[in-house]
Amino acid sequence: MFTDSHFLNPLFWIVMGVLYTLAVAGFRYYAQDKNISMNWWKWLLLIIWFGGLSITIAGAFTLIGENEARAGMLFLGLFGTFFIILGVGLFRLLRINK
Amino acid sequence: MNPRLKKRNILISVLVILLLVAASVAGTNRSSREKTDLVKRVTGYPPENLLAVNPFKYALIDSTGGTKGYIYTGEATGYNGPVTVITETDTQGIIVRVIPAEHNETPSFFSKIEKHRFLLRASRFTTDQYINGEYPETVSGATISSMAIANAIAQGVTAGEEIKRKRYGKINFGLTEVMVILLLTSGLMIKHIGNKRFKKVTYWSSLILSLVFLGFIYNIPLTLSRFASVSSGWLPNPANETYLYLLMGGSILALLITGRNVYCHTVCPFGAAQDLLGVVGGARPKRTKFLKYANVACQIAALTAFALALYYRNPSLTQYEVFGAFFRLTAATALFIILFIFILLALFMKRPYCKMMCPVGAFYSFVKLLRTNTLHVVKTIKSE
Repeated sequence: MFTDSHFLNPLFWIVMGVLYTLAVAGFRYYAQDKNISMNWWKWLLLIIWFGGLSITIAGAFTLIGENEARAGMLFLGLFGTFFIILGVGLFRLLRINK
Repeated sequence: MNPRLKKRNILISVLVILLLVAASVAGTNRSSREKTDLVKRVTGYPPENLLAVNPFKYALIDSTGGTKGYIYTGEATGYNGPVTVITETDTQGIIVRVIPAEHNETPSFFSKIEKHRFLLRASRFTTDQYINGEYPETVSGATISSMAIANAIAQGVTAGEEIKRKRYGKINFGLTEVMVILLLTSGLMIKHIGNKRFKKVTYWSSLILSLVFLGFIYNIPLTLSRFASVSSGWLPNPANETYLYLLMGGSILALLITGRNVYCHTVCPFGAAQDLLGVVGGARPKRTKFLKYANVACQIAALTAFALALYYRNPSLTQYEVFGAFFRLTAATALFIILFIFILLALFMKRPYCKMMCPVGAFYSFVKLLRTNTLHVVKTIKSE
């Protein structure tokens, strides 16, 4: 993102890093509020899912950026939908064994 | 049932039948009026250069008065009705060009034929090869449409040369047909299974088999356009689509005899996909006023599309299902968006697509309504 700018490019990645940190740290408090007990395998599944979703979004927009809009949209539609379905299933799994 | 409701249902059934018959009759008349000389229009040759040998063959006359080639017109049934193909050859029977002159095939699927240069491959065969039953390899994902083009070329050439040929080839009975019979039988059996656990296992096995085989491997979910196509008199080729006769005939027969919609319940691959999504998301059955109205709107939409398809003699008008988008990733963008919405909904409620949009389900509910009303009328007459 913003590859031509020496100011916006690092700023963008700093903001992205902050948002990711907030998302992971925020989930801990969200789980506490909702009485979801987290253990190592739940965290592992969550990280795998979050990583997969992030790679899907990054991959799709990279394709769009490389003038392969159709491939990008197809990639996002296919894997994005897949990760949303997995996310719903994972959320139900996280709520088991409170 | 309330007698007033019964009367209303009978009235609806009669009106729907009248509408469909009127659309069909008007469509047939309209189509015969609109028939023009395709060969002259599509090939671009002036009328003086074309000499009709028979209804399927034209001789191409050059400026000196000699024959420089031939043009054949043939027709075969595709996915959405007839596909008319014009084949131009030289005097040796070498095909110069193949033109799909008229068809109602789904654009997103037909574009695959052009993308895979099927017409070019079809033109590399000689007329003798078509006469002997040698066809080019079909396009994966557009098998029925590409097969229809090859069949239409063969039909045109054989009819043009006045060679007797069986209209349909040998009936093909393979794994697809076995799978369809198996799914229909298990759908019929489920209701009579007493053991709850075995019932559940049979139900889920049927759904998974249907999703994998009918959905992803063979990609043959029933669509309203197939019913519209058959209703317009264009029967699919039994040599290529024996399963379709079993699927359509079997499911309608089961509905008429038992009153149960076996197809939607256990055979439909997209219904199976929605059920599986429901398991992931913990979907629950929902009964709201909105769903009731949405269901009525879905039935009206299906009926309108079906009547329009009969009137315009174009079954592709009924193709607003999301099956192509889900199983083949081939559809218009709007259908992908609709599919995404229904996938999300299916995670939280049972079979939302079936309740709010599916034209095939609407068609089966109408057949069921017709059955109930006919039985009621017969019962009333008997009791009087």
